[in-house]
Amino acid sequence: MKKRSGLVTVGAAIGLVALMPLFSLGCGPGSQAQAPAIPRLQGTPYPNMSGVWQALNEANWDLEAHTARTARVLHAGVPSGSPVPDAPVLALGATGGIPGSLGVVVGGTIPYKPEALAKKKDNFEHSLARDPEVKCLLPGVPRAAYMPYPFQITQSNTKVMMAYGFSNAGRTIHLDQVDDPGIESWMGHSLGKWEGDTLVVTVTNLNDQTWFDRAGNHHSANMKVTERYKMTSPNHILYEATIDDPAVFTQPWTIRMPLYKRLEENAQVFEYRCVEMVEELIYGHLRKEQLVKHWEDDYGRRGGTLVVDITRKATKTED
Amino acid sequence: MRPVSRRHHRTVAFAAIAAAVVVVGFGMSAQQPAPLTTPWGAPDLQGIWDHKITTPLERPEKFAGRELLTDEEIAALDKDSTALPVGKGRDVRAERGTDADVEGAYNNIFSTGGGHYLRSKRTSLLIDPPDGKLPLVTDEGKRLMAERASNRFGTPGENGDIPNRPASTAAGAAPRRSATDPATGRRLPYVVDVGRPSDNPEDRNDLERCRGVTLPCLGGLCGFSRIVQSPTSVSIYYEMGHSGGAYRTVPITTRPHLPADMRFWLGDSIGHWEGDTLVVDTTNFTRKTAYRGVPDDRLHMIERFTRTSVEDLKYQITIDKPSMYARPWTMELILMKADEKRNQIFESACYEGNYALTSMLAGARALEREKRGKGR
Repeated sequence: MKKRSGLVTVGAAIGLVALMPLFSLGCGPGSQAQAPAIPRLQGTPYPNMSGVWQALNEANWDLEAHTARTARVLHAGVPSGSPVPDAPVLALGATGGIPGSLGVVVGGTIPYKPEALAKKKDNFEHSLARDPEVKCLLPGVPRAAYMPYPFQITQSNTKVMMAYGFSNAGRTIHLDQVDDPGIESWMGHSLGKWEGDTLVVTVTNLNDQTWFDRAGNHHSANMKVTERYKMTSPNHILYEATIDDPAVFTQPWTIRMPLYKRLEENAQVFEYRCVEMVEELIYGHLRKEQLVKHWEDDYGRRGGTLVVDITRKATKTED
Repeated sequence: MRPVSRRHHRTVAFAAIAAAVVVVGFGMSAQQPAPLTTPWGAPDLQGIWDHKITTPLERPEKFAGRELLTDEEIAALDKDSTALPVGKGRDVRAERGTDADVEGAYNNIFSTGGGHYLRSKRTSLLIDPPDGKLPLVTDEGKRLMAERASNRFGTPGENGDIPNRPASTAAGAAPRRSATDPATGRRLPYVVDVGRPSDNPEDRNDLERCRGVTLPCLGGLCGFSRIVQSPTSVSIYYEMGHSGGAYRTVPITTRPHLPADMRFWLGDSIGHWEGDTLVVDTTNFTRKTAYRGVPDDRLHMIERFTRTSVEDLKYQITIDKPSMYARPWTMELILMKADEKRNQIFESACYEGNYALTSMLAGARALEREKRGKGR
């Protein structure tokens, strides 16, 4: 395992307290008139990131640049026209579209190997059925950071706990020395260290079940993610994640985006208990009496009555 | 494992030192912090905490009138606990690798057998009422418990969420536990729910559905928790493998509780410091969880976390459950610090690996098809 800075041990942190005035000089009022002072974790030289944060972008739809899309599942449409939303998402109408984005990939494109790119395209075509987010599976890293839910950072001098809104996901970033867990997991194993004012987190022991976004961007279980959290103001963190996975990509690549502090009074992360929410999706076909098999509603003069009939059957392995 | 009696002596010594250090620590905030104090001067509650405990909730009759055990009694009980893995009830091990060993091998992982888990001299977890007995159950509580017991199977807080389902629809019999295979009549090496329906996922209990940690999270089933704190929040991760784990963040704030119509599985928690103790006040629970058998969204829980020594965290919980108990009651647990470097606390990912629920439902459908086939 990589040797980490001695600065992170408790003993060293205590020693550093004596140096506090030196660290304070750089960020006192007047010394850097342009940049607002960054809050410090009292008794340490480190920035204090504790609070509720959220990404404000379209990265969870697709890390790469894209213009708005009609729907997540498309029907080819008529020969002279554009594709139209297909049955599973038709009723969502304008709420089922996908907003456009400049993308968050530094350099614009994810450097897939050819066979991995083919897999990504296939994933994209079947994203509703395959996206782990749809099934409420733990999102992994880095996806957890930019899902459309806030997350809580509780930061001490030895550990940083991140609690995400989606599916009660979370992780502990170890600033002190811990043994390797020896197994893979959905949220991985996170080791952190401070490089100046930037928290650098190395994430390993991830599984290959998570995606980067709803567009089918994928990785292997050998992925190493290096995250960088740099507070640029009391209310902004510049977030970067470098993806190192030679089995899937021709070279390491990086995503970069700001994270914003939720400034509402008493901002907090609410539970989003999606395990319950998807029970019908995951197990509905195994009920004795199936519930969701027919749906219709009145679309009035703008579209008549929309009727959806659903036939569900067990998969081969469940028979 | 270290002998418990020695641990007790050490605990007392540490507690004395810690108390002295904390007092001094607060007096010289500008200088280096004391060992059990965070860099910002708060009592340090952080670490991996082991919830396993052998002290019973209520005081056994043989200790009536006595709050504390003697050192001799602790030594004797400790000796008993070391005998457990080869000893008692569902923990009995049979020949390794055989069907007969399935239940014992499984339960041994979760049982307290073989560990030295007696960290308190108390004869009961209950410290209030002072007699160590739960307060009287109200008439409403008795009615609710009877309703629950007659319709559902399961230990408190583990029930499915279809209330008052007539027993007659449940495969013709009230749910019960059995070690006999209902289909073949063969003796099983483990216990199954007989008569508990698998018509819907909602029929199965919360653990089988990976519905998540419930509060209070206590005892061996809760497993381990990890506390990380900042000056403005305290975050707790509960491993509780059977439920999927939970991250719970307690803001240190004076804000009032959220509006009464906002309900949460883990409630709405608000923390504040009273001297060296973190006090967490939690309300706004749902009726989906059922601590001690009865769902109650009026549950009001007050937790007190006090770091009493390097290795121990005193954890007091006051339960105010007006639908069930005539008065609030309080228990005290001593949580044990686990090795930080070994870091043996894991992601639960219960739902992610839940093949059991699929199999139970699919199995029930397969049996129905088989039955229909025979009927023709």
